[in-house]
Amino acid sequence: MGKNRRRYRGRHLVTVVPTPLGVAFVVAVSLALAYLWMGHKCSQYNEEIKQQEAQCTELENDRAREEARWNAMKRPEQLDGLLVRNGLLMVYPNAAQIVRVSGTTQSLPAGAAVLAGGDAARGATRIAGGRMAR
Amino acid sequence: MAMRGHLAGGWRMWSIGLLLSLGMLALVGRLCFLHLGDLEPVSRPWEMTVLARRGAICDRNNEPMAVSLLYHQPFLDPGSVKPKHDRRVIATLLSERLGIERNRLLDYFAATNVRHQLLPTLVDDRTCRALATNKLISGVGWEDRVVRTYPQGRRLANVIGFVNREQELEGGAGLEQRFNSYLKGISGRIESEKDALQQEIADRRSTNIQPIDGADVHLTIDNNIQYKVECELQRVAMEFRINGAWVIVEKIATGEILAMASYPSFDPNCYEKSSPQDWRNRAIGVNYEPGSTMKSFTIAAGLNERVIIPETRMDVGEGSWFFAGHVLHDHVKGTVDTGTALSKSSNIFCARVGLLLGEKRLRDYQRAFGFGERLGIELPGEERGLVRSSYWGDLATSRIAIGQGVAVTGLQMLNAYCCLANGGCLMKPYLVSHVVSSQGQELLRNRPQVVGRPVRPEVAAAVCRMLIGVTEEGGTATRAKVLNYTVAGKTGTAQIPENGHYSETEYWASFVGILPVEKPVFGVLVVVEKPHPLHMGGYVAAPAFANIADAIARYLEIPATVAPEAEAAADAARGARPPTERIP
Repeated sequence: MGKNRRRYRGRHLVTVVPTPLGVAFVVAVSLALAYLWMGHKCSQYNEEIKQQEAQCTELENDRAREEARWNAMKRPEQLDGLLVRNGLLMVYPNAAQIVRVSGTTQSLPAGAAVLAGGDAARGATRIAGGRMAR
Repeated sequence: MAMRGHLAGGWRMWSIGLLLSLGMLALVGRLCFLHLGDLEPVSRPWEMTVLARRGAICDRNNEPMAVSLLYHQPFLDPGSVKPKHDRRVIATLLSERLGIERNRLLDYFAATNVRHQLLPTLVDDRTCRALATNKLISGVGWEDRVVRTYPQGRRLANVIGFVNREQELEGGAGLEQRFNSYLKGISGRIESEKDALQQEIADRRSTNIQPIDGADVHLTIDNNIQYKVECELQRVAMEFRINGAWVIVEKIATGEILAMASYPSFDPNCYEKSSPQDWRNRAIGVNYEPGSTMKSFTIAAGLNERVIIPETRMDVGEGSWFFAGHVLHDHVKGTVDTGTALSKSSNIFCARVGLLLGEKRLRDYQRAFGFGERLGIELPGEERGLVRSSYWGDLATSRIAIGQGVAVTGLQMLNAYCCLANGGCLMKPYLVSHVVSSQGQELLRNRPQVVGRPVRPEVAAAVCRMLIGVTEEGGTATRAKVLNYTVAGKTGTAQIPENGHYSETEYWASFVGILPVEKPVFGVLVVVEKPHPLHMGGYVAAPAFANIADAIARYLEIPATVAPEAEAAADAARGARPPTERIP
């Protein structure tokens, strides 16, 4: 047993790389690996950012195009054409067809107060009539 | 023996350690050399202009009238098709996605001397990316294109104008031209390097200037009112086979322009297909002789100078007046007061008032009402009109008083009438409400601006009251009546000068009116050039005014100023047919 230990101790002393060099080697390798890993990660993030930016621009462009299409679709002549095609005749009410209610809800009849809603309480004017939505 | 074995094993370990260390040193050295060494670049410099989006033009309700969209335009470079790729396959794939005939694409590929063959199509980002990343395609490049589109088509085209396609979206007419510096924005720039795979090397980017998008221009125009106006203009054009026409709607209290339309018009999306004459904004770019619409200002000047009063009565004879060697005809006969003279549009009465005023005062009043000078509206091509500054002579004075020998623009005429309706306050007309940068900062805001007070408020009110008679029974424009409202206005029918003489067949028919008289909200001017077969302002322009004013009054929900019962009773008393409800 004692002989084995001696043999082992002797071999150990001769064959092992000096500790500082070993540590330096491990640190250098670790740094190199970390460097590579970080470089790779940066490239990955770079790609990702580029993709996200491109997607953002693409979506923004799509939104602008769709908005322009929607605006073209809801042009007054388009709406009028649709109404005519569906046999509808809609006009803005003339002044005589508009009921203007003003004053507070306390001073109004029940029905008018409902009609006037919250605006009447603030003394505002509200218009009830067959107004065309556009 | 054992000792030798140990030494031999140690030597080997040392050797391996040494080699590894040398290798590591070499790697570290190379790393330092690559990072810190002064190396010749192996990459290619690369520059790119990042296009700025041109600002939008919107109406007063933020409805876009002009917007910019980004597209991509493909180009072919037959010389750079890779040998492993088949041109027929590329042509087929492109044809499917771009909608261009395959044979045409093959023809382009056959022309190997052309290195940059632009294809006549624009595609969105998705299509561009799908084709650019397709492994079977090479020899196709892409260029970014900012395309100016006008979603409302022809609407407001003469005001908005267009951008030149040839020169990087520079405004070529109208607001696009006048507000080009606000709208165009500033393009960005990237200076960097690309590797062998044509990929940008991110950390070599030396310049990265982001583009600044153009500012948005917000107008005082209301798209819905503009639509009504243009529909009516189209109807007039069809009915009277006209040469040209223009309509303006102005908000009286502020001078905001709510609508401005010209006929003929054009589609700014394909402006190059129309004649340059169609691009003209006639509402501000044509000087026309106003005729009788000028009489209101002669009367206003006479009242303001107290040379006449509303009750002044004058004998205008039997329809003709010989003065300074020329005969002036009139369809009004006998003795008339000021109000009747205006409502029936008496030439002789107004000519005499002009003479009572004298040339200087008449000219001064015309200038005070804004004639003869540009009003400074934010549009290119505004005319200044023609008010002579040299000696006129009595004959000229008598004619200028009735609107002959003087030229105005439509905007000047309407603005002057709005002045009368606004208690004598002349407002500066404007059609750009504000300009907002892409960062949300307000760069410009127009506010109502009083530019003059040519007449006293009571004089302005008196003239407006007289002008009500024009649309009532016995007036020259009963067709200008609007249900539920009192309208004040004036017709004008002026012969067009041709070759030094007044034409006997060609006229400018016009009507300018304000509604409602009691609480004026807006004024409308309708001018029609060379209408046929009718040519009187009361028959051609007045009905168009009535239709437009009725539609606007409904749209703006202007309270009625005439009770329906009162109107019906008045009509019954006159034996007139009640006005039927118009469909706007």
